[in-house]
Amino acid sequence: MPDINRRSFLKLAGAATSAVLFPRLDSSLKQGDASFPNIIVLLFDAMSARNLSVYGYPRSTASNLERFAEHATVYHSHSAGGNYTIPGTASLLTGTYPWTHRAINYGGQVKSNMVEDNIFHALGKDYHRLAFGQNVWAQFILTQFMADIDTFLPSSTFGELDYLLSKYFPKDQNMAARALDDFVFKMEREPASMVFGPLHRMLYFRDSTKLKPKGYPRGLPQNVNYPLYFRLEDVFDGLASLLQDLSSPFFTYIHLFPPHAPYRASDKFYSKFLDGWSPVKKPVHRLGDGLSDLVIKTERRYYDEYLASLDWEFGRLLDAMEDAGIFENSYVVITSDHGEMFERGEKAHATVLLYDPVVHIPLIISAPGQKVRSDVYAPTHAVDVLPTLLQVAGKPVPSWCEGRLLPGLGGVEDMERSHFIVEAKSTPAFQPFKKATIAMQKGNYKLIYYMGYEPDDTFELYDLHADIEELDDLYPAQPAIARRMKEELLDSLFDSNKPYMK
Amino acid sequence: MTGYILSITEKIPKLEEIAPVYAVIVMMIYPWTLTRYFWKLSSWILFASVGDLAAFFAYMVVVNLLESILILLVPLAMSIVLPGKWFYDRFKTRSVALVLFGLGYLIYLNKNLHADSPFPLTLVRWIPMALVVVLLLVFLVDQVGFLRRVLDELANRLTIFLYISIPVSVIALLVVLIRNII
Repeated sequence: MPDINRRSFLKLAGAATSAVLFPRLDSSLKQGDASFPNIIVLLFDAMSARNLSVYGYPRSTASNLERFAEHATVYHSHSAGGNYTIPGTASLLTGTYPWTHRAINYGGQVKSNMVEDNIFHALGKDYHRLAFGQNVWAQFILTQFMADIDTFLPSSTFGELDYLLSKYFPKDQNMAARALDDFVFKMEREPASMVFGPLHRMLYFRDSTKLKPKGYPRGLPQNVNYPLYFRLEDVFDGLASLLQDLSSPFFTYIHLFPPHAPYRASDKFYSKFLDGWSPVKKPVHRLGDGLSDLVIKTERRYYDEYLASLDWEFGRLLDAMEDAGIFENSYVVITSDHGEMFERGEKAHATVLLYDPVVHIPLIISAPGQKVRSDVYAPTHAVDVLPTLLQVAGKPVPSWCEGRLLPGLGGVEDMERSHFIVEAKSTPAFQPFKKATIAMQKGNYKLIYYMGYEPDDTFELYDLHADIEELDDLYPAQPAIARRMKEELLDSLFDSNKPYMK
Repeated sequence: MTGYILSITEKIPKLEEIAPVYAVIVMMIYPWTLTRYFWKLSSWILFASVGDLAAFFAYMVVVNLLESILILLVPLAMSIVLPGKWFYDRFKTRSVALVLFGLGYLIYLNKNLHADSPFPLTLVRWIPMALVVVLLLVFLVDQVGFLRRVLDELANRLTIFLYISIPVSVIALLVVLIRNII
């Protein structure tokens, strides 16, 4: 009898799970219309383009993404819709800006009359539509679209240990996740449930101490606010099995939690970047957390090492996909929901700041059979992904969509086009914006508007072409450009606020 | 066999005795979660509809309902298992004391179970000892007439809240069931 190691077992388990979870695939998809290309969206949560070597970062964090990019279109100035999961994911999946879909708060939701305005619905039943939200907050958004998703994989799929409860409520997953996983049994502060809460935590703690963090010197990757541990290799083995088992045409939206904090590099990359390299020093922002340089520098190194670990696993997935011939008939989209920042006294992305590292995300798209690399430098935005994917799927672009076709995939480079990034977590979703940070990018210029913060509303203007580090605020020095962009931003904001004004 | 079953049923306290005990349980468990519900409300109202808030409430109340029933089973089981003189004969007083001390300890435990702090392993290891202390206190309190009367009176007065909590719990249970069936 051949030896079955842990990895082989997981692959077998993944294949078996696929067979059980997707019984319809065998019957319906294998008979599907082969004229539709497959579409795979692989989203890495909190992945900043600024920390990826494929975008010029000096540390070698993404050699496999570089390999992938050799046969793909690389978008060099791609922005997220917001600076954390809820608005970023909602913008990607609805093709609308946060001030339109209104998923702007922690744990927020796409507004109820827009729930059908999503990519799954727009693609329609010609596709088998699969969604996996490893980040629980991504699951909040995805479960709003359950009516249009054929196969939904809960956050715990491919996990090592989880005590999430919503998966036991398949017919009411959205509400169960928000009420139970995000409230009654949330892993923060004291439990909201007096009896089951401590029991839940004790059992989770008991099981988590039994986990062997072998290969992860900083501990196993986990979602800290929810009871979920996973191993990168298990997740990618599971994905490889899953993608090989799907039959055409399919659309998969895979929202992976890493490289979101906590940054748990594997032993291959642990301490890899103790290299003495330092990024450009930037002044502490008045709205930042005021963290010390040492803390920020250390966190950046941990993040980079986690990125490299993730990239290594992505390389294995890439090999598996190449071996399975998936690239021949599939669009493969690599992107993120938002970035991560380690500067100006701030780390990660729970911030009101919208500087480049926290909003500049990767977008690399491989078209079926693409053999050469293509580079696009014009600004693009997360809202552009939906119309582009609909276009390549031969579907009409709906009128509610606020994005444009991406250059190289039906669209043209337009340096004069404006797009917006919105941070408004403390604004009620049903009211006009009163306190928010809004960034507008137009060509090389980026205007940032801090609205409702003490002592006054302020603006900053940067030339991203000449000053990608955003150190030289041109707002006072370039009054003509500043005025023009300010007017456009305020007009757009006014229009978005109109439906909520009394 | 019949005699055995009869001896068990005979040791199940009357409803008039169970209700005050359940009222005490309800009045400790439900408000604990309810205060956290109102604490979260300030962030929920930024985006949640009234329907969402009601559904959150329904799930929360169903969890509380299950918790309260589970806790009630403890004194009921003790009444059945232990000799009648130990528990059944003084069911109300001893159950109320047990619930107050037991849930009081759970509150203490909960207060130290912050997910963002190191797990309080020592505290958990002391749980068996804490349970022994709780049981000792239950029997000691029952020896003091004044305390006994206070506990009985407290339990009786709290019973009125069952007229609110039981219907609300039943409605919440129906809401959760319907949401998960349809």
